[in-house]
Amino acid sequence: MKKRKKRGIFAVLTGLCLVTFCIGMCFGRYPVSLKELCMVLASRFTDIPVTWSKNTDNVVWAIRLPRMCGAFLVGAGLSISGATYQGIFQNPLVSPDLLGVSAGACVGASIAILCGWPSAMIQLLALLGGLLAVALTNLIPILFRNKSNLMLVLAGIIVSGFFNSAQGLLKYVADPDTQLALITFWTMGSLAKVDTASVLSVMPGMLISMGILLCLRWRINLLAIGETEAHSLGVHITRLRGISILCATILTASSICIAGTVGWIGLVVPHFGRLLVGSDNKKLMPASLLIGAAFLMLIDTFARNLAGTEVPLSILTGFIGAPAFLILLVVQKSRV
Amino acid sequence: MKKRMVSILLCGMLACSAVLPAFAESTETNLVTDVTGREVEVPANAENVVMLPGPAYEKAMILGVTDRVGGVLKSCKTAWAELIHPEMSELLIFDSSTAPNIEDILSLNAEFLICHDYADLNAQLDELEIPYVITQCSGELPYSDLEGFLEFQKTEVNAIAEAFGGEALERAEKWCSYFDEKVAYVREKTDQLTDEERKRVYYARSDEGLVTFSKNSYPHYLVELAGGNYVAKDTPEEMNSTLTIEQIMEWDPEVIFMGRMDDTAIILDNEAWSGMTAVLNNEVYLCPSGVFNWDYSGESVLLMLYLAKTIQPELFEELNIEEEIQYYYETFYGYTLSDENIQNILNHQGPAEQ
Repeated sequence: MKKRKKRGIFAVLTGLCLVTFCIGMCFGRYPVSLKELCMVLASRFTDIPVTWSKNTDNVVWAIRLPRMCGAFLVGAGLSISGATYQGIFQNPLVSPDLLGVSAGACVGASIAILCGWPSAMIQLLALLGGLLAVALTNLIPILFRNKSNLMLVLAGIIVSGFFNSAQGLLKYVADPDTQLALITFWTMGSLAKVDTASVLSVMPGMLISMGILLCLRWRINLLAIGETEAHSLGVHITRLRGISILCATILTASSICIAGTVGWIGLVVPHFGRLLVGSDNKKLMPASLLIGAAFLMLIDTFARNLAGTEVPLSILTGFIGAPAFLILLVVQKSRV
Repeated sequence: MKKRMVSILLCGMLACSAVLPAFAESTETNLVTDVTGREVEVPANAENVVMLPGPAYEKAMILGVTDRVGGVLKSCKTAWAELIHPEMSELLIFDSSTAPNIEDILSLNAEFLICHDYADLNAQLDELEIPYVITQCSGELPYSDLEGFLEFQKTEVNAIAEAFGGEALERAEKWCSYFDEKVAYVREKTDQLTDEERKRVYYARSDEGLVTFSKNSYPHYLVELAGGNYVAKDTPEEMNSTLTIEQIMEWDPEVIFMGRMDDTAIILDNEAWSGMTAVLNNEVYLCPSGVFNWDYSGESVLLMLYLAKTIQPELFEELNIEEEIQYYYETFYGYTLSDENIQNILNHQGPAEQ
């Protein structure tokens, strides 16, 4: 009975994802009717006489579809890495940028913007910056021969602090006329520049990382019972933690690559998932993935439609995420 | 070591005492009304003026007072400005127009500043009793229609000329009458256009074409003067906006100009733009760039002519943009451009690029 209820929740969440995806595909500044949308989508698979303009075709295939896929990947990626980090560190206040990945990725992207490089290079440097920051964070505990979680978190604070200062410096030297606006916009998150090529470039890495994390999800539960106990059950703690952190880092850095830094999702979505399916990572992680994806697809639809201009994602996720977090806390407290 | 310190101190005191009487003597002042309507008195015969807005050194060139400038904003230092005034390399360069290093301004003994209306900076200068002339507005613009925009262009040049005084005033007058003449020439031809005859024009500023100049910006009025219909004229913000690509598609521009980008491939190779009328009709153009950005400087007169010629080629058949550029550079900067120079300017390149 209970099992069936949980399954019901997953069916609902998957349905929610599909609905938000369809809503996102239907709404935009450029008018495309539902009928046109279906015909344009179908035209790639069957022979339908073309009655629509090239613009309409582009809106569907070159703009909305990649953007929705991007929103799905970023939302899902950030949420599942948030859930993973919260599981590893046994701390519900942890978000995916704990180990400095956001700060590092921002520095990488800003360097590329300052050098005037094209967007593919901005994405690549963001990824490298994020990976470098996390690598540094992992190096510090090794130097101190102290592999505790606390040491790792402290190292994350040090590395984030350093990269944040570097980011400040880069903003300071940026040309306020052209580069600064781009850096600022990028650090506030936006899917405006997502196209087919950029989605395809991060998709394999993100899907594989998500797959690995989903496979590991029951092992992450074991981290909760304590290191010694987990060890006695035959789980290699350090290796498990390393693989999880690597996957979560790839997911976060890839998200930042195509969308800049989007706040709140990695923190709030796992809490929402916990409310629905409980704190068992076995269910929590897939639930977070689906909720995060649906949430960001919806948010991005707002970002594109609220005005003729693009609204940065972090503004919207902050406005919705912060009050949602408060409500969650109230609900959780009444349960405790 | 001690000796050296003492000698440095002595030198410092000597320098101060040498400077002080000079300050006391120059009681002569120029009265300036700046673009915000403020009245300011600045010392006449200033020799170390600091200019913080981007399009300010360019005005000094028009007014023939570059030898009286002591420091400029980083972005003033363009390849074309340096070609015409190589001595520019000796100027003190400021990295920020919002928060310049105040000690740099003091060490230059700047008699007055040309700057924006940034409240913090203005308050700081007030406290230090350094006079400043405001020529650019960062917040709300002091105009909201075409006539106001045209007046603003001349007020800016005149305010700087009043501050420098002397011959600069005559040169400002010359520039203003040239400006009026060109605006009248273009308006005479485009005022008669019906709404249907005005092409829909999108002016992409930077950042892969999604950032545009919004309402009340230079391109807004320049495009309308030049016989276009400026599609971004109803954006909520003034000056810059980041747009959604679908918004641009909905406007479906017939002509696209690329303001601060140097390659049309940025738009032409992007699939998302490929269905727009401008791209289908091959009407995507780079904007020229000279001593300063044409879309935010005195050279905007030239941009207006370039836009007119490109948007309404039949109306402006006899207009020769190369000759107009040559005339402007000879008349106002005293510099004769080579044919290659002119082509570089038209292609948004520096003088060294081929």
